[in-house]
Amino acid sequence: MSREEYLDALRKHLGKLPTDEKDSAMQYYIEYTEELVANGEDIEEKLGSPKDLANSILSEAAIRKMEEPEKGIKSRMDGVWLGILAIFALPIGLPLAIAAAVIVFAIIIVIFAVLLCLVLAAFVTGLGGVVGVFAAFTAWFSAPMTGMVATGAGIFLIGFGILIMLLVTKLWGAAFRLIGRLLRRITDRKRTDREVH
Amino acid sequence: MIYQLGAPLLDACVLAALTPGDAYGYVLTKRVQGVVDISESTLYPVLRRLQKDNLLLTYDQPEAGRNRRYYSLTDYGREKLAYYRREWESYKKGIDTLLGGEMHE
Repeated sequence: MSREEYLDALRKHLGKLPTDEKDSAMQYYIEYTEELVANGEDIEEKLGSPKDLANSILSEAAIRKMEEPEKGIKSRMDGVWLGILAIFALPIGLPLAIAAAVIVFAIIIVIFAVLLCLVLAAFVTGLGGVVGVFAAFTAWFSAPMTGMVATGAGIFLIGFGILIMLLVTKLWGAAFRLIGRLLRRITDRKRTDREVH
Repeated sequence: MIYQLGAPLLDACVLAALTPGDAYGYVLTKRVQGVVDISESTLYPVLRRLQKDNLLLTYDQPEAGRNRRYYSLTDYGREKLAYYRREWESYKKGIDTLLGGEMHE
């Protein structure tokens, strides 16, 4: 690659650079390559490929631009950055507390939904038993055997419903204890947070 | 050289390389390369930055049938170099204490 070709390629790779930066870099390397040639040195061996050389110039110019205190787009981007940083700088306890509250609320809803389902199941089972017993009563005369089986089944269902209700009352207490413990743990966490700060 | 030349130290080296006298890019590169192992393409961005920070100024001088852009220390550049020298002394002293085995309990 001749010196002219090298410089042309370098100029092409510097394409995105602002004109004054590009002119300054080109001026420097036009002179530099002249010295290299005059001293019998190989341009590519000394400076690397035009592309690599352009990249080192571009990245340095970009870093410098970012550090420069300037108005316009730059300061607006600064504003955006400061905004993002400000969000991250918020007391971490606040978003965490909101998240914890939502989770606790969800858990409480789930627990009561499950309990409500069990209550309904107990009620329906018991009701089915009662209906069964009454229905079986008519069968006692026409078909005593069937009546007896149906009555037994009805009584079984009533008993089963009562058992579920007992289970629900036990779970009810357990659920309240669980929620209580959950809330206590969160408030404890908050207290230790405050102690740390 | 296995130790890296960070940006401040490189700046300091380039400023110091101009204390014997103003120089154009090629000669300045040779001066720095005579002491530390840097590639030919390292210096331009440094020179540009130092120039933008008003530590260096340039002037053109036609020589040997071509134009040479000379780099020269500004007063601010000299001040900065003095600061870099003080910083380097304390840094060097610290590293010498550690690496030179002069550290005592």
